[in-house]
Amino acid sequence: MTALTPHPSPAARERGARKGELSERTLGLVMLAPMAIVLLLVVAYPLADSFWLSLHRMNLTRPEQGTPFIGFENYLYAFRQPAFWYAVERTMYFTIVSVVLELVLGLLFAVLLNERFRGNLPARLVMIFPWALLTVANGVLWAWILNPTYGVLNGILTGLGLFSEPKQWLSDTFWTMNVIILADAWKTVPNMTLLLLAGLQPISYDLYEAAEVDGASRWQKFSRITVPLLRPVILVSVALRTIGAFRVFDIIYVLTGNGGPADSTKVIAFYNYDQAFRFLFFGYGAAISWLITAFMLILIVIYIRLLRTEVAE
Amino acid sequence: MNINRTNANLNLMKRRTFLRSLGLMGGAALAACAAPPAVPAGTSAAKPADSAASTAGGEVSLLWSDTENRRTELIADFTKATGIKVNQTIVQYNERLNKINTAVNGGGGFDVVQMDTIWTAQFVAAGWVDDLSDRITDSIKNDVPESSLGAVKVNGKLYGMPLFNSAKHLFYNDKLLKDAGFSAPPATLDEFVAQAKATTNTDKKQWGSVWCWKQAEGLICDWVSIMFTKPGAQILDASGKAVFNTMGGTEALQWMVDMLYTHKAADLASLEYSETEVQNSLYTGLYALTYNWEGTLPDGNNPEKSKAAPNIKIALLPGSKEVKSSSVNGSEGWAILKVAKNKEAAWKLLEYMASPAWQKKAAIVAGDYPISNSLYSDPDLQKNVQDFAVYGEQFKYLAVRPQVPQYTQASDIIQKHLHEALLNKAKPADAMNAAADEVNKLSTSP
Repeated sequence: MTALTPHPSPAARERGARKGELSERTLGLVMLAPMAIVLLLVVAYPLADSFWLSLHRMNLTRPEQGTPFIGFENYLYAFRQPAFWYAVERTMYFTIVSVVLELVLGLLFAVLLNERFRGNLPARLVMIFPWALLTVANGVLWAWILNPTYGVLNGILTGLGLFSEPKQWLSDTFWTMNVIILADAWKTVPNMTLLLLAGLQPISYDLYEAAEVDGASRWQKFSRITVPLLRPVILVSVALRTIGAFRVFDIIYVLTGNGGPADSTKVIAFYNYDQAFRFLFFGYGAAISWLITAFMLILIVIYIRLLRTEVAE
Repeated sequence: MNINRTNANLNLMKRRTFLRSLGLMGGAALAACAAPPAVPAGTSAAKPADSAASTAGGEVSLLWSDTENRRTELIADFTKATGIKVNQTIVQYNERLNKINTAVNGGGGFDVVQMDTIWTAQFVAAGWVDDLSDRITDSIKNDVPESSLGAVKVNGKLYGMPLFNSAKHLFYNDKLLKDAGFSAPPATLDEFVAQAKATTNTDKKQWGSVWCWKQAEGLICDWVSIMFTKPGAQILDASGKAVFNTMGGTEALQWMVDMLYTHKAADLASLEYSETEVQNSLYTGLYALTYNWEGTLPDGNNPEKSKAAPNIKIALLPGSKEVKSSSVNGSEGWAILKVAKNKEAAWKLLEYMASPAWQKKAAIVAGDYPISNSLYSDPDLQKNVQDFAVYGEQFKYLAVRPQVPQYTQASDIIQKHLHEALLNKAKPADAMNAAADEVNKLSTSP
């Protein structure tokens, strides 16, 4: 039996190449080399270079300073800046509120679309539509919806008599961030829904039928069967959305232009953009980029730990 | 067994094929890296600037914001007159700073760039642009108003050729003012308040004024215009210290806050509007008084584009008892980059742009107001442009925003504090003191 097993030894595999051809291992290395070089050039080198830059003072408006090595001073400088911590706080607010909102809505839509009903397929297709929009296009769309004079949102709210006069959604330090979260959720909920729907599909109907026989209510079926079985997928999708939300920039740029009103939407990516590309502090800007990366790595590690515990259970 | 072995061979082949394709893709990508740089998006007459060293002097690359291609004819005229080909890269205003930044740090690409007045000091400090003081002739220096030269001047030296005269003007709806019993537009800020209050009628959704008070540079421009109605107003003192909080800035901000909440004579939507929305609002025929850049006309009196046609008129921005009028300089300039490869051709382009041939045509086809004082009495221009003389007059009353390298940063700080007061989150005096304090601490930045 053993003799029949066609499992070539490593040596045989090396010999597997015909005469004059490179061995598989060498061929593999040779063929992977160009791609590896490309990756080194476009990913590893810029990363290393930006880290090196973050250890220097490089202020383009003060070329007389040169670019002295200053160790971690850029990082320490960031920690001393109230504006930096304010941006971190705004980012955390955006991330937490938008991820929770997207998860709740995504779960709701996924459970709904997992039901068998007429028009399920068209409903799924329509659902994907906002996700296919470019973020910038989505921003412009919402700018019109939220326009204080001509916007449809004020039109509806004043038309229904809920508001006596139009609300300035984008010049209110509380509302601006929240309507931006809403605009962002409109685009990202479909993504969350699809991921969760994919997680729901393998859950057998037998489980629900058995629960029904035992007299379980709808809520009990959802909380005792759906949620526990869906937990790994929830964790993955929440992790992905957290990373996306933490880097938010474009929709805020389109809707506010400058992180206004009164800096209330100046998230960390915006702060970074200002420092590097508007004020031309390249060293400091690079340090902020690395701090953003560090924040995200911490979040990713937490999620991976949670997932591992999940798998171990 | 045979089948299994065949499968193993097939797998081996698949792996090899896969690896080969991967190798090919990688090779192709490497080859792409070595290929000449791609032509920037939005480039017309596309040709990489450094690819034709043999024709150096015969061409020049230009970065500007002629996004509606209104000045294409002018470039053609230049090529016809000099034989120099112009490779244009056209981008929106907001992308231009990034584009220049990348070009300079990436080793070139453009010879001439359109430079906003607020960037001049930053570019000079960074050593990005050539000093043109010796090249710009006395006849140009004497015929261009100080406000326009100021847009390209740092420490007494000229780092660019003035592009056009630009200022905020008062654009108003004559019919709404007449209906409210006013025969002339406001000459002072007090009259402005009275007229704005009288023309506000919220039942009709009609407002006495609307502003670009979104947290952006436009907000600074209006604040500066209002501030300089006070004689002796100052943003920075001679040593560069921020003094606007005690030299007119607080009173200007108080006036703005009062317009919104005490007089209720400015649409609250102003807090999220930029200049474009202010212009569009005026075109609805429901707004009486606005501050805006030239360009609001002639469309404002075109019935196809504006419901307010033909009632939009232009006047000097209001002043005070002591100051006839007060506006802000929005002029821009043409600069030659230090990294430019075709400097002689670039200079020829700048000379042409400052000549009456370019200046007159640009005024008619694109509404760019000439840099030469002498052109404001030109009969052709007076015939072709509505109220042309008013523009010329306004350019005599301009405040210039500080020409300092950290202007962008200082402006950001002031915008934030102005906005806090306008949102009623801080008292004007507190907001201005906090802003001055932060601006004065800027020197400790990384």
